[in-house]
Amino acid sequence: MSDRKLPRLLQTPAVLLLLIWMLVPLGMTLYFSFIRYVLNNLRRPEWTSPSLSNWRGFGNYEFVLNSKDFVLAIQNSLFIVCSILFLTVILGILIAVLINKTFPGQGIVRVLLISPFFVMPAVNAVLWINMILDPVLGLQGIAVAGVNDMLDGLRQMPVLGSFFSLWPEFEPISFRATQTSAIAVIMMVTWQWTPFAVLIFMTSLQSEDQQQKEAAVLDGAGTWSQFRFLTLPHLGRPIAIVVMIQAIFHLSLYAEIEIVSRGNGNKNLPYLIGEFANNNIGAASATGIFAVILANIVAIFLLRMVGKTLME
Amino acid sequence: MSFGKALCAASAIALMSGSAATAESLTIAIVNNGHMINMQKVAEAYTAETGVELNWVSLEEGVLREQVTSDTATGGGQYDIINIGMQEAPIWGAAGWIEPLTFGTDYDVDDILPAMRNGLSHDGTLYAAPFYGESSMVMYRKDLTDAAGVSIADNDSWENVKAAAAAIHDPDNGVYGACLRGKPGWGDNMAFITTVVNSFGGAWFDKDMKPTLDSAEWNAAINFYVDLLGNYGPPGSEGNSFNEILALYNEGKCGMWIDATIAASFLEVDGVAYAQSPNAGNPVGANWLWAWAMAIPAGSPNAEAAGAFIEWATSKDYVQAVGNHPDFGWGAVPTGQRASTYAIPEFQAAAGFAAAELAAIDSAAPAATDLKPYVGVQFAAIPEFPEVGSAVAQEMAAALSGAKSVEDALAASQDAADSIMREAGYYD
Repeated sequence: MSDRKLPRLLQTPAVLLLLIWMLVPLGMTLYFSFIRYVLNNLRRPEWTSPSLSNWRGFGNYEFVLNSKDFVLAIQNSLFIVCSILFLTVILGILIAVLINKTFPGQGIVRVLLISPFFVMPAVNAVLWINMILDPVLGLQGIAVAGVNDMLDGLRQMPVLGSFFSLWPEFEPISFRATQTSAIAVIMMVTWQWTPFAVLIFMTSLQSEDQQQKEAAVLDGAGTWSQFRFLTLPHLGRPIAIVVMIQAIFHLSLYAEIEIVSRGNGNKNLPYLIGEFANNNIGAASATGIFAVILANIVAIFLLRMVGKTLME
Repeated sequence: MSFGKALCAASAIALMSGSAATAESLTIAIVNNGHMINMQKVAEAYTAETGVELNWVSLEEGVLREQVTSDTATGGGQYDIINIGMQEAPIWGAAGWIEPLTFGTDYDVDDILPAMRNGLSHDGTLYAAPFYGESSMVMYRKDLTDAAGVSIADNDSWENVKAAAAAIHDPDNGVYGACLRGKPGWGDNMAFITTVVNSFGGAWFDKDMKPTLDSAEWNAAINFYVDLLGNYGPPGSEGNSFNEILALYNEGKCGMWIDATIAASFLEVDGVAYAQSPNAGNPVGANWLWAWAMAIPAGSPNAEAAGAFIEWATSKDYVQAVGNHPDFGWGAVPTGQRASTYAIPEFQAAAGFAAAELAAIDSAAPAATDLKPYVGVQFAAIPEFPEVGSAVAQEMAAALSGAKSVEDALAASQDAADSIMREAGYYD
């Protein structure tokens, strides 16, 4: 046993540093979440600086739990993360399999496919919501207006006109509305992160055992069977990694939500924290603790999943 | 140490050479609006004249507010001069976070429009000097109203305005009757919605500072707003604020727009006419009042130099400097702050909206009244207002999108506002 003492002793500074690195911010957040700390409350100046005499117990937690959008924020956090994960994994596998074969212009296609990943999140959101999804000046609005114009023209035709006049006019969709803003965010983030999934899956496909595939072909296995029984199991580990890394990133989405709808009908826990942090640091900290709990629950599931595939 | 020594050396040299210039520098946090961006260039002359170095920190409105609030509240001392608005000035003055301003007689404080002076003061002391100010008014396409045979008068009734919007509404040809703010935010959709509510006789809080969003006036006003914008507005109105509507208007998509007077100077469409905001008969008025102003955080070590700069940047001379500047000219001078600006012939020639703007600003009344027991027109000058306003703003956007009924949205707004005010300790 004594021969392990020295290495442990040598590790201590690093371990201590890591502990401080993590524990100090967490401890501060915990402390703030139990006291009254409101930046600019003029009626109660004693609340404007953090102090133990403003101890509030679970009052901040109660305020956050009862606040209008808390439940929405949790639901929406999970809804956004799960939808993006589902879409990126499916799209990622499809595209990766598609471009895995050699074809002319392969290099250019691959570079184009990867490029969305290098767009900054805020730029991504501004680009999508203003230039693509805008119902009047964006691509969507222009396309809908064009289709309606075309229908108008067809209605003027002598015989077929009466048939087309039964068709309805198309209405552009407002993606900043309460009902659709979460979908807009899912769309733009999926666009941005699918390349990441493609990249990981493509690398993995290249390491697929070709001899096994040839054997399968000789045994008369169709393309679907090859994909189902050889490729998919082979992709198990990369899927787990994509899911885990993306879940971590998408639980903390902020810029897209702010730019698309300013939280209208679509906010997650980080956004709720941001709203409180303008003034009520106590409530923001309590929300932060809730976010840590949520992230840990998600992490437990993910780690199990990843652990399982890594064991296999 | 070496920097301090260099500074000593520099000031010693400056003293020895007998120059009045000192090695002073000011850090100024500004909002990234056109007039402020221009100021960075105009102020090069100020640096050349006085030797005061100016470091600009230009931020987006929301970010600036966050930065400046936390810096001021915690006494961070990052900035020597900060850009604040009418919502903050009286509160921060009362809290002692910003220095009271005193100016020489040349500055002519009485020349500052009374509405601006009142809105930026607390207990009769000026705490922030207005750099530019604005109210709101109706801007409409005279060609469209003439073609439709309707007209919009000053302080028209809302019913007439709606009838005019309906008459010019022609979505098949890409023209929408009314473009109004719908994007959630206390300075976005709520700025406009509050003026509608004011004009219907409603207010944010009663005399005990309890929110009154469940009142009949709010209900009538929001129903009207949702109906007008929902039927005669462009699709996607819940995403439109000042900049988005300006783009739509300049694309020829808007028949009528009720928004900040400052918009008039950016309109590139011909045949725009102006009218004072519609009113449902309430004396408080239906147009808002806002100023971007400059203030000095309390305890700034460079308070004296900061005061001198503010005195220059908000003076009559500054207006002249912008007007005569080769890069800007009279169309780009900051407006809405001084009465004398409106008397300058070159400005009158460049700004067709000047008379309507001045009338709108003069008619706005920020002071507390029986009807509206708080300072502010399209906001309440209390620290909790941004929180309350943002929460309500999202509900209003939900009502506009049709995700919620107006009644449900107002009930949720009342609950949220009540819980924020209770949390802040206004009542138990």
